[in-house]
Amino acid sequence: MPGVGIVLLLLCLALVPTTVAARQVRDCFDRPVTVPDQVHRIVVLSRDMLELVRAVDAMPRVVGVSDTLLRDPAFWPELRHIPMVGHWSAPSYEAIAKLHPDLLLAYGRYPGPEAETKLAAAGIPILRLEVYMLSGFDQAARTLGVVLGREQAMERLLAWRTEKFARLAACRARSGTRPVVFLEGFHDQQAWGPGTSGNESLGAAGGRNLAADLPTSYGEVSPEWVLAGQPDAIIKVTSRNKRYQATDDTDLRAEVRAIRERPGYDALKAVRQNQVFILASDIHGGPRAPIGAAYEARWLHPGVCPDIDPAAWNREYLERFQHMPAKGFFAWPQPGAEARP
Amino acid sequence: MNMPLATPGTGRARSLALAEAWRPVLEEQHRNARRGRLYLAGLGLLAVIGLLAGLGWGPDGFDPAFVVRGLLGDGMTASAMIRAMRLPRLTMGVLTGLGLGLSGCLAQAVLKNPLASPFTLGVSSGGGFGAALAMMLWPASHPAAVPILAITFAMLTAGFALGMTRLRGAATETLVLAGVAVMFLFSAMTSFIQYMAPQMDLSRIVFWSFGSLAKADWGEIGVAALLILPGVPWLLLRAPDLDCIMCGDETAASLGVNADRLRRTGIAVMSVMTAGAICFCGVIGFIGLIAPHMARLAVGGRHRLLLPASGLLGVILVILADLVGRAIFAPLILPVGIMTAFCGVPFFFWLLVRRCRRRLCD
Amino acid sequence: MRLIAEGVSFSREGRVILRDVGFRLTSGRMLVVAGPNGVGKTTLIRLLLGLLPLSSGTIRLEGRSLSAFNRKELARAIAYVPQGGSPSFPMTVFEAVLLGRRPHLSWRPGPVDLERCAMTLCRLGLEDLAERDLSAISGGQLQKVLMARALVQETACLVLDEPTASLDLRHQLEVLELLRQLARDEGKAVLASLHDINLARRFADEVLLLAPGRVHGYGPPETVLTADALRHVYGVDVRCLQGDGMTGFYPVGPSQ
Repeated sequence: MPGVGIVLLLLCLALVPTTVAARQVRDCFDRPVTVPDQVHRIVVLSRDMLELVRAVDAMPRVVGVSDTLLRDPAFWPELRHIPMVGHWSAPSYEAIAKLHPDLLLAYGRYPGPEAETKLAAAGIPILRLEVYMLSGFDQAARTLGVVLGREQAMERLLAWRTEKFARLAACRARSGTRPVVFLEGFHDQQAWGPGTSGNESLGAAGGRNLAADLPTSYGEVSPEWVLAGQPDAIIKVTSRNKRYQATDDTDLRAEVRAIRERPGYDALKAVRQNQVFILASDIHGGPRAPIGAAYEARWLHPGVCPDIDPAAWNREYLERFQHMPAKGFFAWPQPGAEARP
Repeated sequence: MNMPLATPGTGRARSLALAEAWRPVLEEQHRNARRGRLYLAGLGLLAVIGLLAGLGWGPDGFDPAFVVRGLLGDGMTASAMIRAMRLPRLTMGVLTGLGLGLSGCLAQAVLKNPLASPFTLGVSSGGGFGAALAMMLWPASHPAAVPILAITFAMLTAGFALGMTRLRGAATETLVLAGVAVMFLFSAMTSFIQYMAPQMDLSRIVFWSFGSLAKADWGEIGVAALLILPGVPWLLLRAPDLDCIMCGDETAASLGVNADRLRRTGIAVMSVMTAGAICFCGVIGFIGLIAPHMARLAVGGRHRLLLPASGLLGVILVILADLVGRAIFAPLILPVGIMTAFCGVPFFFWLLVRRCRRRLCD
Repeated sequence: MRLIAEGVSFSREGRVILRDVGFRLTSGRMLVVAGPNGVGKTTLIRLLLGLLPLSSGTIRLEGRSLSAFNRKELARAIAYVPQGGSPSFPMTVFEAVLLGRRPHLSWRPGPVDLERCAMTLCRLGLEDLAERDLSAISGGQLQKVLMARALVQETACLVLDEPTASLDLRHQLEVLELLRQLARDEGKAVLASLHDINLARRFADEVLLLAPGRVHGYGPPETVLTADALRHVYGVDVRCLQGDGMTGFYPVGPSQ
């Protein structure tokens, strides 16, 4: 009779329905999103998100990426055999569904709202997070950490960033000056207005944005206005890709030279005093925001904050959080080095 | 009053009677010619005023004293701002407006279509594709690649249109349709490049299609002038012939004008001028379409006056659009290619209303 | 001025349109080309203007082959009046007539050019319309404008394609009277294609009657335009009515 009892007990246990544990998190628009408790397969569309995923050692869970990420194999060797699901702004939902992921990580506005409905049919939730701006980065990163079950690793990254921003704050206090900067974006005469990552970065570095009161966030400004404003420095954020594989910084210097040679720019004191700088978008905004801000701080307050070493910070980030050897050229001129392009 | 044709009487009496009648006709023509010249001079004056206004306006508003100082080289900031930034911008605007106005007039004559513009044959789409290609292949190096590829592809589309003219039986409608097809093809190819471009370069390509006078430096102005100005004397010399081809190829031939050859050369000249106008500045639309129509209202349909009037109106429209684009949200600069449509459309509607009032329009 | 056509033939895409056409056009005389629709009247005119190449035969103007003339020389010798049609571009009447001076213009119209235009406009009774747009005048007036343009071209020869096609009775007579005057009083050589056989009979000095692929007759209108010829060429039975020195054809009906 004990045998029958055991069989009955096993039958009862088998008949208990198993529930999938899920949790609720909030996306960048503060909307509730239900994600599975255990996320083992993810599709990632944005580069910044992928850096964060790698920072918490969750790369093996990536089963699909957008096409632009596959064009940088030197920086993403793990993706060699990972399939691509289409363009970051309009991926193929069928390709995503075929991979049976537990979660899709996407930008706030791309792909469009139809993605939720299409993927809901396949039971795939979308988590939209924006990590480009300083404000909102910590919360988004923590959400990702919770979702991946890697809260502690994410806290380590956040602590690293907080420490770096604290040093930048100390540098600002020590310096006391706030030089005026014309911060230029990806194409000529494009300024970063209020509410942009460029504006935030300059704030952290202790500089004043010439375009802080622009009526829009981004826009082409007249060179006469720049000349009238006579900024103390010009900093260009360049969109050139693949800075990691770069063997030298000649093209960065060429861009600086091109800026100095613009018609009428020789009347700018920033040009005459060699205060024209350039940094790559890789270290501007996103996970590596402190590095870009650090370069800006060293350029704007020369000699005041020798403890801020952007190159070392970049090395540390790459080795410690990205598990990649430190190399590449991301800014010019390196603080302390010669400033002639 | 209809004079009977088979008038009886001596030839002398008849010629005396005629002499009475044709004098007032002749005088009216002289009056018209004078009025046309007056309007042309008026347009020239407007262009000069526009230039002065554009030159005088800066980020701090109107300051003519500052401009004079800058022109004389008094003060580093003033001279840099005026001579190196504002003057080249305006000069490029003048060249572009001239090129587009003249090309538009030529396009409407050669294609016998009042809706034709320098872009009808697809020249601007070809140029836009060339620019986008250059921006994709060499995003930050070789900035000269953009105008070079823009001109190359603009000429390619023009060459294609010229090839079409060699087809026997290719009427102007065929040309226009072929141009539209080419335009769609290159637009699609440009859109494709935009689609594949990394997020950063996308805006640059899009901005080129809005048109901008910001890229003007004296070297580029020199190249644009080389492309635009040589066609001007040819156009003015050929003005009477252009009048003739409006009546049809057969009539033109009977008047001694080889319509085919004129059309081919006209397309070539028009394409070179248009390429020069857009290769540095991007696509500045609407000017080529609207300037000739406005000019026709002022000086009539004869190309001897219509061509210079179109050119001057092109200059006026571009300078005005640039000024408005600089002034409205200063220090932001709204692309001139967008402002031309905003400034041009109200003009256009006024024109249409006036035309409908003048004679019954269907 | 003498224009002699001999053995003129023209084929297009294997189809023979004109075969062995010959005629003489001399100063002071009006030659009318008649024939049914599509027989090749307009093609013949195009050949005369040098717009189409001859398949065979010659056309000589003052002894020189037509192909030896360049376009401008030809424009000074032969003026063309096309069928009315609708003008596609805005232009005033005076401007339209002024175009006829193109073969004589240097670059800008001189006082002589303007004078000739004004005089011709008055002569044709169009002086009140000088400033009107072409789209605002009637068909008859437009035809006169086109003739005025040909007149200011000051050529020895005038070629007209169906000048009476869309005109009312009065304008038809006025135009043909003018042509006769130009031929007789001013010594121009006039060639006009007409579809109205009565007008052809009345105003022509010679008639060239074309049938599909051949010439049915060439000579004075009385000998060429007979009831027999009309039956053959037009497929219509006509009665020739005469009285008071006037002759006319009454079309009875299609022939069997």
